[in-house]
Amino acid sequence: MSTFYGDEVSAIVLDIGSNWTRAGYAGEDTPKLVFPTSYGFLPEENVENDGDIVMGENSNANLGESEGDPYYPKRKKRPKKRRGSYIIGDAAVMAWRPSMEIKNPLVDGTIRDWDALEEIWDYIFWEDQLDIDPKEHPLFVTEAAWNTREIREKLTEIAFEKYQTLAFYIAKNPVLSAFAAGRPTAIVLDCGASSTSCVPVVDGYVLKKGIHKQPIAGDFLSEYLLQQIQSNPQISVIPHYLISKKFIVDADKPSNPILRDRPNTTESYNKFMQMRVMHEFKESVCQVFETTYDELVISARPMKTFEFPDGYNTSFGPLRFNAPEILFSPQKFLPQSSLEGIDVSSLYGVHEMICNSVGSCDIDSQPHLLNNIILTGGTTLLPGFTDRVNYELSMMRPGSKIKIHAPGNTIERKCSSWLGGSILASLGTFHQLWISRKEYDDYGKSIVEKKCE
Amino acid sequence: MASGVKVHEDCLTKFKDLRAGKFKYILFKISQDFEEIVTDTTVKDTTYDEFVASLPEGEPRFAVYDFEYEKPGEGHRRKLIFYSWIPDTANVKSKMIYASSKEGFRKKLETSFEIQGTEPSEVSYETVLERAVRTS
Repeated sequence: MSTFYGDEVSAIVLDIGSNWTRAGYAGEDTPKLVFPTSYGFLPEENVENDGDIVMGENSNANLGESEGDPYYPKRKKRPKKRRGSYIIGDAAVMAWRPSMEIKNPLVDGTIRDWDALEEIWDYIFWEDQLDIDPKEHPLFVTEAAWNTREIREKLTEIAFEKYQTLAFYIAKNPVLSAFAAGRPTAIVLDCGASSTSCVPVVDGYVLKKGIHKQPIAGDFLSEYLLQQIQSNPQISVIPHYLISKKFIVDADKPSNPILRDRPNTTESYNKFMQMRVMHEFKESVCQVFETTYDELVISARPMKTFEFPDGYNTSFGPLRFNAPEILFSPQKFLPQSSLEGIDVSSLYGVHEMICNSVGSCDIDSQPHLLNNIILTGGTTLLPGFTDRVNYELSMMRPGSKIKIHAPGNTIERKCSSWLGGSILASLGTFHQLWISRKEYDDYGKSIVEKKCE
Repeated sequence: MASGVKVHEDCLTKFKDLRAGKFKYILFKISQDFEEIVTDTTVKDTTYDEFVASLPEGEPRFAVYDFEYEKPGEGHRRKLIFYSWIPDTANVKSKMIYASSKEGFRKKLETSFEIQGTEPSEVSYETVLERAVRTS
């Protein structure tokens, strides 16, 4: 057996999602690094000392940059410099800085901002994180099912030209999720942060004509919740970074926190931090109603209390259910005014997306697909989500056997494609699948279309 | 996308034997080192129920079964059926490796159709018979 990639050299697996980036070593059960894909950006005039980044807890990242440092002999100097500074990592992005904008390098699940992508790769490989030299490792990345040929080729080029990786592979998220669920043929519903997509996978290949997607997912729910909650003059969603001291107060009583002075805060940073609060709100308060929306039943359900970062706390009733209802009946629950550039009448409930996706596959495979529906993405973890999908589908497809696979294990649900990539990339037999350095040199970047089907 | 896991020659030999009527079914598995697909067991005189019972509860297998049935009005029929048995109870690593190795293996065997099973009801006699009658 060839030891093309010996045991000590593990591949690096990267899954850059719209909300979270996951990175780690192939063969491990969980990614070593999970951090927001959104990054902070300081325009050039706000960066001090010739490009040195103004940063708090991460400033020791510069320590190892001097050549020949005996303590960090392996660490490479980060190739620099783009204009302005990029601030990456969970704690770093959250830490307030004047004039720091928050940006996201993905649009519709695919890469748009290449400078930021390289900064993220730099951060992962160097900068105190994995601390590896990409030249010594094969690199396995995941992609959206609708990624374009241009983007795939550019990723291949960057991997080999700039990072000089030992080998490269790019795999589609829904295929990895389907395999990790033990189903070479399945419908994969991915409801994450920025979009909801439904993708048929047949014998390990994406059926392109069956891809259905729309930009209504977790972030949209957070946005909607923020608007709804702020419409109550009693409540203002003050994010953590503004709060110096909060006081314990009774329910519905003003909290009068002591606020911090944070001049020159950007709109995007404030919004990012508000969305974090709404994310927490969703996780602790929201729930999907199990059957068809019924206002009477819902208003009789127990309320749930939420404490905002400033200490203000109150109970929420129907809103708990109304927000997630957007995912199932957008036509009914989405105010058109909340959508810019999207026609509400073109939106579908997630169960309708599944049916449309199944319906675009050949008739013989339809029963089989309905029997193999995989749920992935953080938003599918809302309590009641799986039951509701099941309920709606059995109403739409009476007589069909419907089986939904939704792993109870949160890692498997949130990171199924990273995990699938980790297992695959660790296999000795996978070496023949990698695009090798030599193949790239011989055929150029277009090799990716041939090898990574 | 595939795993690159190879198929041992013996799998193809045993498959030919089955086609020649020497066995009723064969179970295949992926070797411990995840390098290749090998023959697990071959069984000659048996029933469909015994075949289903032989599929391990928490571990994947591939299988080929020589399925005989009566088609109403058309008499006796015989079909070779490929099974990918990857139960939900299996661990994620074996699920991933079997699922990504399935297509490469199935293509090497000439079978009538394929059953993807994740729990016993999906490989039941009724399910398979219904499919056999429909696809002929």
